[in-house]
Amino acid sequence: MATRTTRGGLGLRLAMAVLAGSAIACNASAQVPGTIGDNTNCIVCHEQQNPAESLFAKRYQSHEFVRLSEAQIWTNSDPHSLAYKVIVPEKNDVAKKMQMLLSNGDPNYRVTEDVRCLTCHATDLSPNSKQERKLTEFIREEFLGISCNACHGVNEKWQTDHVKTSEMTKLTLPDANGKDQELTFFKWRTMTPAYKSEAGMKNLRDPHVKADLCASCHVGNPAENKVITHDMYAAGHPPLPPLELVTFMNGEPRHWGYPSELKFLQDYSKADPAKAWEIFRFKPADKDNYLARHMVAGAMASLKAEMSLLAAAKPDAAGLDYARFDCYSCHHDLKYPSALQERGYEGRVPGRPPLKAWVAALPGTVVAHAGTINADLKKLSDQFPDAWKAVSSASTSSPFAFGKEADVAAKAKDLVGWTENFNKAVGEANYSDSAADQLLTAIGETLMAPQWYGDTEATMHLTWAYRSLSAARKKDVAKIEQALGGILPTEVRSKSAIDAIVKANPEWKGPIPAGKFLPARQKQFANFDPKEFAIQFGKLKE
Amino acid sequence: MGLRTTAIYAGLIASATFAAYAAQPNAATRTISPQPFGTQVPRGTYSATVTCAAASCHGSGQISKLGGEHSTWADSDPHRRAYRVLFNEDSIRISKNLGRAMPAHEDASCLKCHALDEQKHYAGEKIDDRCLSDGVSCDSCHGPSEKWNNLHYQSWWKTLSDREKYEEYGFVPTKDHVARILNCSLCHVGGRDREVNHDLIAAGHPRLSFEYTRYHFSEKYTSKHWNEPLPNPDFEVRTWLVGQAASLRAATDLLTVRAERAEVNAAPWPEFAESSCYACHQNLGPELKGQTTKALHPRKSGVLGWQLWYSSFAKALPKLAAVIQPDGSLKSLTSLEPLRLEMEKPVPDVKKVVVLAQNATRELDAWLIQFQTKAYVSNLSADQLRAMGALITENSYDHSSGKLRDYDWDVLAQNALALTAIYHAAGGASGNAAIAAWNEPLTEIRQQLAFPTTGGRVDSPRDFKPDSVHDGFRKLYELTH
Repeated sequence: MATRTTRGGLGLRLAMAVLAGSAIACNASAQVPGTIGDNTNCIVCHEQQNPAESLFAKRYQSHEFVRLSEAQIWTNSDPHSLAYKVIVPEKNDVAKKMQMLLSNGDPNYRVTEDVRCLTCHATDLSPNSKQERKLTEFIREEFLGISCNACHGVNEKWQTDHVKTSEMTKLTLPDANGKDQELTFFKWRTMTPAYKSEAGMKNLRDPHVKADLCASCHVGNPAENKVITHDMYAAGHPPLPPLELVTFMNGEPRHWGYPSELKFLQDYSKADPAKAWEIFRFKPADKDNYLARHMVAGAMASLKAEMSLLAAAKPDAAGLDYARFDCYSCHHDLKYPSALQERGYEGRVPGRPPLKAWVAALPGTVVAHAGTINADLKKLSDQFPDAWKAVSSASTSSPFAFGKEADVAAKAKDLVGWTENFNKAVGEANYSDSAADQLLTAIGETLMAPQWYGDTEATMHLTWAYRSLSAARKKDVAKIEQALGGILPTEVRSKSAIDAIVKANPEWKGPIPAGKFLPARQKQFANFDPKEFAIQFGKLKE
Repeated sequence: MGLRTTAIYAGLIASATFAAYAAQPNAATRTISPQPFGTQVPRGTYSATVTCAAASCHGSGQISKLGGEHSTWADSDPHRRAYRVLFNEDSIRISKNLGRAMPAHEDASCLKCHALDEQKHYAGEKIDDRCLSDGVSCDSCHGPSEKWNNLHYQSWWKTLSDREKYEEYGFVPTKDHVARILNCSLCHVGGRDREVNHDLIAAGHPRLSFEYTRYHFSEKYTSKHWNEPLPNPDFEVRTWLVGQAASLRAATDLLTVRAERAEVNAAPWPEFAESSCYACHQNLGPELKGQTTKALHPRKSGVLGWQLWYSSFAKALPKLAAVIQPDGSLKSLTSLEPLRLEMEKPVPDVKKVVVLAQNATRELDAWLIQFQTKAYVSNLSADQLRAMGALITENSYDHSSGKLRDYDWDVLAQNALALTAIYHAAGGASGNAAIAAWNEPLTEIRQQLAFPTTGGRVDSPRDFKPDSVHDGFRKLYELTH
């Protein structure tokens, strides 16, 4: 394992994370890109205090393509950096309790050695491995958590290749004054996404790739052993909030730049729009609404991820895990009048837990809207309601309280396939501002639809999408917060909530873990009043 | 040949929710082993209350007096309203939520417990309106009176044994506590042709959580239409104890039927009503159960405890029974834990459950037979009552670790009710001083267990924190040791 050297702080930690199992030269300040060689070292480039003043900016204008201060931001305020630390029992009481409850009496059990936990709480060096997993395949360092590699790709090749000074390219683009300017940069930058993926880099500029990646932990991914189960929740794992990609992106201390903030992409797109789209999935803001596209990608990725979890149910499995169902259909006080009863059952028998409604509520709206974009999407869009109904009704096919697992799995697998086709088609479609406006209106209508009335999670997820899209269309989100903030959490990690926590804990250093938000969020969630929501949201829409 | 060996179950017609199970392959084998009397719904022709209500018989008009049984029942017995509630808003909502084709007051699955004269209904005959509007009336509990109505006031009737009255004439000998509580359990727990399952509860029916003494001494049931021949402390202690065994027996028998029906896809499975309600039905949030363990019912995290309400005393009952029946000896149940393990799987194996539940029922039948045949200690002493209290607190509280032995609301509530029964049996606040001192911790526990009374109607222990009753149980342990 990497050893710590004299240079403390974040940068060093990241450097060590890059290659598990190999000691890394950490005297980063002494290194320049030309000397990286085989040992990739993120922070050498990506931890600049003054990006514009850095060597990389001066020599390659790198700061116009990436932020160059990514590592600083991540260490100082990204909760992903806490991912491993929070499962260390000595550091977190929840982890301690979970270890006790999950041990089932085995004194040698450690959550920090449980692969089921590590796949999302540590950087997994072989995420697709079908073999029995070994602890050495995970970087288990308290200061690392979900670090650069976990999301950008663990393969060494791209880490080396993307900064190979022996392979530079030149390109002439207009400078700020419109004067032609010759740029020199790594050849890697304009290689195709397929080439980059082949070398092991996750092409996170593609919203669908990004969304699938986030969903792999924030919803689940059975192929990567990322599956949260009911026993983990019962042992104390906080409920996973529904993944709405743009809300989650906004909740992040953004270590990446939006294309609108990156001069290189702007210029490149002007010079060669087709290539800019092919390589960077970027179109100028007047053609394509970047955040609306992400909202759509996130909705579909969540659906796909949840369906892949259902599809992974083995035919001989002893029933679907409770975690696959809507948490709040069971976990609620028994009160009258009951919003769940008022909503009705859509052909279900009362008392049988339904699947998580939120994974289908937003996609239902997104897909219906996408059907108005072009004929291909129309065709796919028309198939969705039946495909979803096939899964949901298989899961409640009476008399079985959970439906028949094999049937559910088969129907869910069909829906995964359908989602992949839809994503391909929707990925090529344009999300103009007017399309984003239409989608915003459609989500507003869905929020008032009786179908989702009383489903707290679906309502919250749709509200997040509504807020995200409102922000994407530069509408006044403060009004949304004002109208609905007292009824539901309108963001997954709001700046005001973080500020309040920081203020209440002046001694707190670094990112705020989710656990700090939980009590208030759960209380609000438990007391959700759908009637009040309908009234306030109705007023807001007016 | 008793009633049980006839085709008791033949001809029951399924309703959509409660499918029929006319074929009873196990009925024959079940009768081979001896059964306590009172386990089944007696078959025969039920009659309206008018046959009992003659002024010279049970309708004297004298409330709570001998001869005024019918009058008392008609005046204030909660069972009188059983049919009428089928017209109320809740019932309308339940039927609507279940998508039933007929209103609750015409729905056989409701009428089984909310009215009388079920066979006629199942046979498609028009139900006698008088029988229906009586709700749960004389024959509902005392048995179909056609065969015994003209005999039961004759002197030779008294020469018959309780078993004969029950098996040959369909008369339920309610003075026998086992038969009485088994009879209550047929509706209040559920029986072979009647149940409140999770579908029905989800649609709005209250959960069932029967505990005999709580019902007997309910504030809603103040004027009884009978005089209890057995005074306290014996009555309440005995009925509490018999009630635990009889209710559990009813629960395992009901589970057998549920599993048998699930095996032929005629019932929901898993059946969530077999699990502890508030294991799931609680808001997610900090639970505060650091002062608890799962020693009483060991189960993995995330597992719904099986039938914690009815089995809270399954392990402790032999020792408790030895106090009031020194000549008897209840054998520890061997099939209940394997049954629990199977039932606590996400989808239990129905075939295994049928066998295990039948075995558990047989073992419990042996207990009930002992309760029906062996002599009881009369006039239990304060020491004996305290000894029982000590056993009950040991069931709920582990002195060595200083923690509660379970955190489930059902378990804690049952343990509190058990101590409450002993407390009242001993005379309550004005009884034996040592036991009267239980009042304070019991009141404290009761307050914590209570459902909220504000914020609308709530049928679950919102914000209940298991740690909040820890001190109460600890004090009770200390007061009894």
